[in-house]
Parts: sequence; structure tokens; C-alpha cells
Amino acid sequence: MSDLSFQFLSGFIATVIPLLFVAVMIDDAGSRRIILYFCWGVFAGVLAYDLNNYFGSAWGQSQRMTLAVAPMIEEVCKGLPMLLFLNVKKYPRVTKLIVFCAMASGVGFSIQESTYYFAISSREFVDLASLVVRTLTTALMHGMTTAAFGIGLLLFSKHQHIIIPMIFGLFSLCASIHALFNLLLYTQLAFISMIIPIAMFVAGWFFIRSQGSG
Amino acid sequence: MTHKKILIIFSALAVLYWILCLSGAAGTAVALGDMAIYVITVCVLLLVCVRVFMGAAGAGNSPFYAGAFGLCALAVSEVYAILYIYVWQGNPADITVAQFNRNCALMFFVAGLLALLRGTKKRVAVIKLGAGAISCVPPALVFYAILIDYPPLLYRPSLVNVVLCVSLSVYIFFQTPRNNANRAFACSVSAMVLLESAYRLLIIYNAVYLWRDLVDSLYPLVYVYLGINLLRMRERGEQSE
Repeated sequence: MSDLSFQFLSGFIATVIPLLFVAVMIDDAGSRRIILYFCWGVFAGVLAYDLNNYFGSAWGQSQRMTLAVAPMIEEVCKGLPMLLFLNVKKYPRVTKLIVFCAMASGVGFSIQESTYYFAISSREFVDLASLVVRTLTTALMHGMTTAAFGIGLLLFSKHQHIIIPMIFGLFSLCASIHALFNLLLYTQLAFISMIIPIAMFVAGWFFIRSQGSG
Repeated sequence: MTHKKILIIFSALAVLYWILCLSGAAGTAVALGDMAIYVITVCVLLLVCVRVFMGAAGAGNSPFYAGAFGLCALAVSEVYAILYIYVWQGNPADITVAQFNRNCALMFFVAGLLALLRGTKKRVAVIKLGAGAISCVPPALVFYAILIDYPPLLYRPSLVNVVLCVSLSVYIFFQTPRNNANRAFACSVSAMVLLESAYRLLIIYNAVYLWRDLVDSLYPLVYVYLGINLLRMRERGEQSE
């Protein structure tokens, strides 16, 4: 195991074990589920890092790795536990919870990723402003792409027969938005990559509000 | 603006773009024209998505949602392709994410078509489950091709989904003789799928650029036609399943 891989793993353990105690104490099933999905997101960070390394070895350039392989692997890792919600008969009153859990998974992933991104970055290149900007945009992007997956599942959870193509389509849509974000981040149009997650957050917020209680 | 006028404008843009290509205009002019047409198309697609998502709440509206998600996927893939080529200065033949996404956008349309199927409950359920599972195969292969870095697999037309979409469209066309909105949606999906496969075949067989440009110029028109049919379906309040 490489040093970085060990750092990822130790971050995961240090975050998840205390949160599991909180999850055990909480009475409300919905809140507990959100915490558990957050823990999954932190674990997905470790999993995606290793998978990126494994599949990335076939790719010569890091640029192509960032644009093609990483978004797909990361979106699949973050969104995988959302498939548990497909059994709507078992979870009859989960409308908004699907989206909250999806967002928690994405945010957990992002916290894990950002922490180690800054841990390995040289102090010369990282200042407080870049830390805030990266956290604001990347955390929101990871959270909202998984939330978009959750919103899609929410809309189609009652249509079980067409859910298989929809799941694949939703994964691809999230991966493409992620790839678009990565593509723009290193160009003169970087400001658009900052607008994408904020716009998605606003759209998601309106969507959640339009759903009423439930 | 009526739907007919929008279609006329996009037809004119397609013709204009092809004339630009035929006239052997400078590369930059063609590139800018191409980019402008796609930017307009993306804006129209996103507007259609917003309109479909607004007010189409509740059960029984899965074709609209599936169609709107498909349009979103197409819009994202076009934005990615434009930026990859014109901003990142990437090689047009190397747009793996856009290829993957277009492949998966087809699945949204397969889902939309499946939601429109009618018939005996058991039979429809079997078709939906079977077709849904089969439609996942081509994107899964593309996903695998990206992971193992095997580009030839990327550009093969997803023949399975092409056959699936066209046969579902034909089935819907004859199954709903009085339902023009459903039939128009099925036709537009078929047109898009056939155009997509034609374009990929032209790339595989390394056809001359003029033919590629011709097919490329038709994309916005078909996309917008698809979006308009989706809106028509919503306006008429078509029910699914």
C-alpha cells in the first residue's frame, strides 16, 4: 500500500468510526441513513482513488485520466448505494431522503478528496482563497452530481420496468457533468466550472422545495 | 414563437452550415458557424428540458422525464464536445466522454419509448424488462473500452440500441394509430438514432469530410425536432403506461 493510499484509508477510518457511534445513537431513521451515506461517500473516496490508480495505469496522460476515467469511476463509486432505494415498497416514504442521502454521499466523497488534495499539495501553491474556492466548487459539484442521480431515481422509482436504462443513463449524465467541470477547471473559462455546481444547487433546491413534505 | 418557425430556423441553419462547408470557406469560419449552431441548439434543448420538468409532476409522466433527461444528456455532451475542441484544442476524434454520453442518452430515449408501450400487462412488462436490460450492453461496452483504453470499441455504432430504438418506434407507430404526439416522438427518436449511427459509420470508414459535415449539420435539427415533439406530448397531456 502506497503512503497516499494509507493516508486515504486512515482519513476514512478516523472519520467513519466516530460517525458510526453517532448513527447508532440517533433515533430518527432518516437522519441515520444520511450519516451512513456520508460515511459511504468517505469510503468511496478511498475506493475511487485505488480504482483510478488501477485503471489509470493504462492511460499515458494524466489529462485524459482526469477527463475520461476519473469522472466515470467516481460517479459510480458515489452513486452505487443509491440503488438500495430502488426497493420503494420497502421504503415507502423516502421522497426527499433519496436526494439528501445522494448529496451526503457526494459531499463525503468530496471532503475525503479535498482533504488529501490539500495534504499533498505544497504550501507554496495552496492559500486560504484557493482552499475556499476548491471546497466551495468541488464539494458542491460532487454533492450535486450525486444529488442529480438521486433526483432521477426519485422520478423513476415508481416506474420499475424502465429503471435499468435510466440508471445507466443517469450515471452517464453525472459523469459527463463531472468531466465538463474538470475540463473547464484548467482553462480560461474556469469561472463557468464554478457556476455549474452553484446552478445545480439552486435547481436542486427549487426541485426539493417543489416536492412538498415527504 | 411557434414550433414550426423554430424548425424552419434550424433547417435554415443546417443548410447555411453545409453551404459554408461546400464553399470551401476558411476553417475558422466553418468552425465558428459550427460552434454557433451548437450553442443555439444547446440553449434550445435546455429550455425544452426546463419546460418539460416544470409542471409535468406526478405519476404517468415518465416519457417526458426520460425524454428531458435524454435531451439534458445530449446538451451536456454537445457542450463538452464544443469546449473540448474549441477551448481545450483537443482532437475531435478523441471525445471519449461525449461518445459515452451520447451512447447513454440513447438509453434515456429507449426508456421513454418503453414507457409509451401499451398492451397486456405481462407482455409489456416482459418487453420492458428485456429491452431495458439489452439497452445497457452497448454503453457498458463503451465504459469498458474507456477504462481499458481501447478506442476502436468507442466508435462502433451501438447497433443493439439502434435496432432496439427503431423497432420500438415502429411498434409504437402502429400501436397508437390515433396518437400523433406519441408517433411523432417515436419517429424523432428513430431519426436521431439513425443519424447517430450514420455519423459513426462515416467515422469508422473514414469517409470524406463533406459527408461528415452534412450529417453533422443535421444534428441540431433532429435534436430540436425531438425536443419540440416532447413539448407537444406534454401539452397534449399524453399518459403513459
